[in-house]
Amino acid sequence: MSTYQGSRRAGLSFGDVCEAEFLYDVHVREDARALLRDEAPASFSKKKWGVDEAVSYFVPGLAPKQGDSFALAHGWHRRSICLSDDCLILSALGRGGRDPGGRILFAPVVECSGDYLAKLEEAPTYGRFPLPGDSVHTSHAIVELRCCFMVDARSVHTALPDLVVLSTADETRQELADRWAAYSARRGPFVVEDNLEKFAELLVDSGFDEDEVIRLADSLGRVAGAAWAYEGGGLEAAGVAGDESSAPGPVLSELEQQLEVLAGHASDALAAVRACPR
Amino acid sequence: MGIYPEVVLAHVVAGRSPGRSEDALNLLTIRSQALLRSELLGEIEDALRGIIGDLEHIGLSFEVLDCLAERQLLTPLQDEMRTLADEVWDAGIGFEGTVGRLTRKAGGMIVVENDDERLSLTEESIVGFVEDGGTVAVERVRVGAREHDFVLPSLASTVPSRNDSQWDEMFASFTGRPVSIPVLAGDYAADMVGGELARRPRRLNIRVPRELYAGANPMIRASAFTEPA
Repeated sequence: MSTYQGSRRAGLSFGDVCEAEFLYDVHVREDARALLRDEAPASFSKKKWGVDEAVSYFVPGLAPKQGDSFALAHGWHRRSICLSDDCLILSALGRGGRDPGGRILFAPVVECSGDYLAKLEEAPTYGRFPLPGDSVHTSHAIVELRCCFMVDARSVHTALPDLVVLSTADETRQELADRWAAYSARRGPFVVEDNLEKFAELLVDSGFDEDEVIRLADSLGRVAGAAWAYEGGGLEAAGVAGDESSAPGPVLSELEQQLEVLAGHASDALAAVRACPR
Repeated sequence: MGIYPEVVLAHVVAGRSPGRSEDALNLLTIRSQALLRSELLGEIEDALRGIIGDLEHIGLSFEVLDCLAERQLLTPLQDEMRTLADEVWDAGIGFEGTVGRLTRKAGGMIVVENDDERLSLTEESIVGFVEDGGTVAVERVRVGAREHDFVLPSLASTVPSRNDSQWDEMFASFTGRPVSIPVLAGDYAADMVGGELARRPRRLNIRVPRELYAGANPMIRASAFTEPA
């Protein structure tokens, strides 16, 4: 499987890897302070530092001037990956000719060794997503979902022509979205697998037959998958149809089909659960 | 324009026999006292109490204005003063003020100047102690037909512009190195260690059929927006 696709997507999308001078994974700690901003005039700056323009300087711990929003915080300059969903990105960057506004979510991308990546694959976590190197980009890296930070959409818009340096492949994007759902909302396939693994191990330790347990877990996982598809696929498509004033017939057919699948998996899982000795 | 001193100045201008100006002076007094007792002035008093002791001399008074502006008290105060001035103007009392730097000249003359104007006055206009080169307020007070200029120590209306030597002094120790302040350790690795439970290896490696989940995460929209460039 390829981690990245050969060419970058147009604009900005969920899962795009970005670089910019202003991308810092900023966070506050208890030593955060407001910064008073003042300016040394150009005449002085030119004489003192050879800079022919007014130079701003910042003093931490003094009351900021009205309208100033500078704060001293922690952060590292990082290559970062976009975590806002595609719909929000469109809106934030100015859907329909509107001005850009709001904020877009990013998470830092940190390079790592192949050994570390292997360990992470062996014991995956909610907060870290692996980006194995491939033919497009050979370095291994990790998306630190736990360090996500927001960036003003106006700055993203300005930097956009050169902002995206890599676009992740469709399958990588899908897995990243599922991992982000796990980290941010404890929902989705990664969480289902995690919970079923724990419960399955409990059943085996309690004397259940391992093969039966694996079949039961598969059955329970299918219900969750069908429900996920119904919510994120069928109902989402229904909402889009409403947005676009589409004909409702195809949507109803799709919902009917998904509900049948869901009911089928639910019926199988119910039977499997009922068959388990208590 | 101050608040209470104007009442005094107006009485000085009116002299010992205010006569027809008495009603106007009473109005000014009553109105000023009401403003002094207002909630706004109480807030200003509280705000200034914290910093006034730190002011070495009146020339640093831009800190006072900064303090008021920061707490969004300056504009309301200016509005109240403007309203008061309008009211007493109709009654025949006028105040006109300007702020500038004072320079003493020969022959008992003084000059008060700022970027916009230059006033020549006499030393008799000075009320209280003012330093040569200091910031003063010139209050022109009119009560009826009588008018007089008063030169008073003042709060500067803006931060005084610094000259090159003052900038030199400010940045004398400027090295370009980061400001040293007490900060928490910023070790990235240490920051990354916490916050995540240690996970044990999976024994059964339960996997859900991912094909059921595929394409159902609305974080991603398949659209022209995501087509290859």
